[in-house]
Formats: sequence, C-alpha cells, structure tokens
Amino acid sequence: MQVLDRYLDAVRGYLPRDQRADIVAELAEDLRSEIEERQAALGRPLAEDELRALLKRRGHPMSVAERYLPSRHLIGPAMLPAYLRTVRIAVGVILVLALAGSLVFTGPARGAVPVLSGAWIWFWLALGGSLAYVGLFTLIFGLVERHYRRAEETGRWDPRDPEGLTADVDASARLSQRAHAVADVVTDLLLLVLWLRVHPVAMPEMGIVLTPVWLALHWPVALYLAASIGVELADALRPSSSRGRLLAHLWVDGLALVLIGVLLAAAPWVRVTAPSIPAETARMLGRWMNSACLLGLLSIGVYYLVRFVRQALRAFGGSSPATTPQATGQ
Amino acid sequence: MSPDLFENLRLELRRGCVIVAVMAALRSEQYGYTLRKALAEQGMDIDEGTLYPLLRRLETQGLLASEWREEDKRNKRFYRLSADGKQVLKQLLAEWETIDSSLRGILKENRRASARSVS
Repeated sequence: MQVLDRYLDAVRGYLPRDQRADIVAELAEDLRSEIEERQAALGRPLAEDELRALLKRRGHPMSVAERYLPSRHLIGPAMLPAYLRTVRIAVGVILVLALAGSLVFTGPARGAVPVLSGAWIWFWLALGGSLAYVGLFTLIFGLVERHYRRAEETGRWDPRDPEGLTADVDASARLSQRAHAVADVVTDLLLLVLWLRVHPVAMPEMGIVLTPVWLALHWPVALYLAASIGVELADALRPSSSRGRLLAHLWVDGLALVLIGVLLAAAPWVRVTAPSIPAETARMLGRWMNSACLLGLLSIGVYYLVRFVRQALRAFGGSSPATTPQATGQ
Repeated sequence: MSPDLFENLRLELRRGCVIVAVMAALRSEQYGYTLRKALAEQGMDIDEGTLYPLLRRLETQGLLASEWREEDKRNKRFYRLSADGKQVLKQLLAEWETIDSSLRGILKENRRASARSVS
C-alpha cells in the first residue's frame, strides 16, 4: 500500500494543519473500503497498476484537497479583466521600450552607453521590469479587491456612490487622501535621495553630458521635493481640505511649474559626447534624447498645470471641499 | 450544442438535489462509503470528491452530526441528520414539492400549446 500512503501524504500536504488528520483519515477509510470491495469482487489483491488507476480516477492530490477548501482568490472575476488589461498594457509598453532601446544602443548608438550595449542587458531589463510591474499591479488590484470585499461584507457601501466606496464618505475620503499622501511621500523621498546622490551635471563615463541648467536647478529642485514631502506628510498625518492646506499645495505646485518653465526655456538638456561613436550618430542620439526630454517635461508640465488650476478653483472658486474630487477620493 | 454546455447545466441542476438527497439519506446513520453506495443504488451517483466536502460543510452548518467509531476493526466516521438538519430537510422537501409542482404545470402548459399549434 505504499502507493496509497504516498497519495494520502500528498493530499495531506495541501490541507490546512487543523483539518489534515481528520480529512485524510476519512479519505483513507473511503479508499480502503473501495479497494477491499474491488478485491472481494476480483478474488485477489489489486495489482499496483489497478491501484494506480483507482487513485488516478480520484484526481490529483491538489484537486482532491481543493474540494475541501473554501474558494478564495486574490483578484476576483469582476476585477480580473481590468487587471489583465492593465498588465498587458504595462508589459507591452516595457517590451516596446526595451526593444527600441536595444535596437538603438546595440545598433547605431553602440558604445555610446557601454553598459547598455549588450543585447542581454535589455533582455534582463525587459524581464525585470515586466515582473516588477506584474507584481505591483497584482498587489494594487489585490488591495482594491480586498477593500471592496470588506465594504460588501460590512455593508459599508452606498448605491449613490458608483465606485462602491464605503457609506461613510468622510472616512472614505480621509482614507483615500491619506493613502495618496503616503504614496506621494514615498515617491518624493526616493526622488529626493536619487536627486541628491546622483550628480546632476554630467555622466561623461556614459557618454552623456547634461547641460548647465541642471546644475543651476540642483538645489531649487531639492527644495521643491522637500516642500512637497512636507505638505504630503501633513496630508498623511492629518488629512484636510482646509484653505490653508490647499494654499500649501498651490504653492508647491506653483514652484513645480516655475521649475518646469525654466527647464523648458533652457533647451537643450542633454549632449552626447561619446568619442567612440560617429559624430552624426551622436547628434542623432542627442536629438532623440532631447525630444524625449521635451515630451517628458511637457507631459509633467500639463499634469502640474491641470492640478494647479483644480487646486486654485477649490481654494478660490467657492466649491465645497467635501464634494470636490480629492475630498471624495476620486 | 457542445456536450460541455449540457454537462454544466446538468451539474447545476443536480447541485441542490444532491444536498437534499444526502440529507434525506442521513435520516438513518451511515458512514461515507455506505452512504455513497446507497445513493448510487438509488440512481444518485455522487463522486467522493463532492460527497465528503459536502458532508463536512453540512456538519459545520449544524445540519449533520458525526462521530468516529470502530466497525469491522476500522475507524469510521458515522454521520446522521441533526435536529436542525431534520427541520431544514422538512422545509427543503416542501420547497422541492412547490418547485416540482410549478415545473410540472409549466411543462403541461407547454405541451398543450404545442398540441394546439400542431392541430
């Protein structure tokens, strides 16, 4: 009966500790009853092949154990399509960027940035980036799913709220504001550490030189990040939609807009000086990099401008803070 | 029509009936293997992967009671319907009667309508 014992051991491994002994004892008893009945009908002990066939008919140990367990999922059927769509887009973008990067840095710009000149580095960047995004989105969607499940279980949701947030709108708004603020604090802290540790002027060993505007803005950007962290910390510790808090946000966003304006006026932002690549290729690479910088700065600028206008309308436009999008967590 | 579709619908139709059948069979005490055989003999084949988790669930819900006892030199778990289980079974059987009678009425009406359209 070694086969039977191994099978039962395998089932045991998938079961929760507190139910293992009970379930496996009952399963063993059922299997032994069936084996005995077969043996009585055949008038001989079951051959190993016959025993294996009998166990195979019962199913894989994992499926057998699964039937005893409550159905649980990290991301439910309602969230799954959005999750898959988001992951597909994120991974698709990463793969396209990695492919484009590998074509540029292993082709025409080979040697411009030595560390990026091998095909394998792009493979690992694409794989690492994709896995990181899949993990991140799994975590985010899992938390959102958990939030909605809890809202349903506790009955703390309101049909008037299309997002199915809890009925206690104020509490929900505070929770949302706090969560956003914590995420912003972490992001800005990382940016500040990166900004202060990485020399912002030149990376000659990589064949890329940043123009002097970055040096001029080194401390103003650090000041902006520190101010932003301060306001976000206040949001995290004590969520509020008071006029004072709105004015603080306005001040920080205004500073961001000024910095972006100065940067936009100071083009170009990057020069490619790698001696190992032809001058024409270096110029082309420089143009691409500056175009990417322009696009990035414009996108960030539009984002901050929209945010600034919204904050200004809330601070001076007379709309009730409690019904504004940020206050309701939308 | 795919065979899977029919199989899924058949299983869905059977799901509730299996619970009633198990509860009805456990008006007298039985252990899992004999219960499965008894139900199979009555034409209600339930595979063990469905039966044992169902027995545990019904016991957790207080509808069944169980005890481990030695029989034929082997430890077996015997199940029987609890007092709550008897009450719920009574209600379920009444519900079953209502569903059965409604369904028969609908089918009878359909047969009459088809006969009228043929003539």
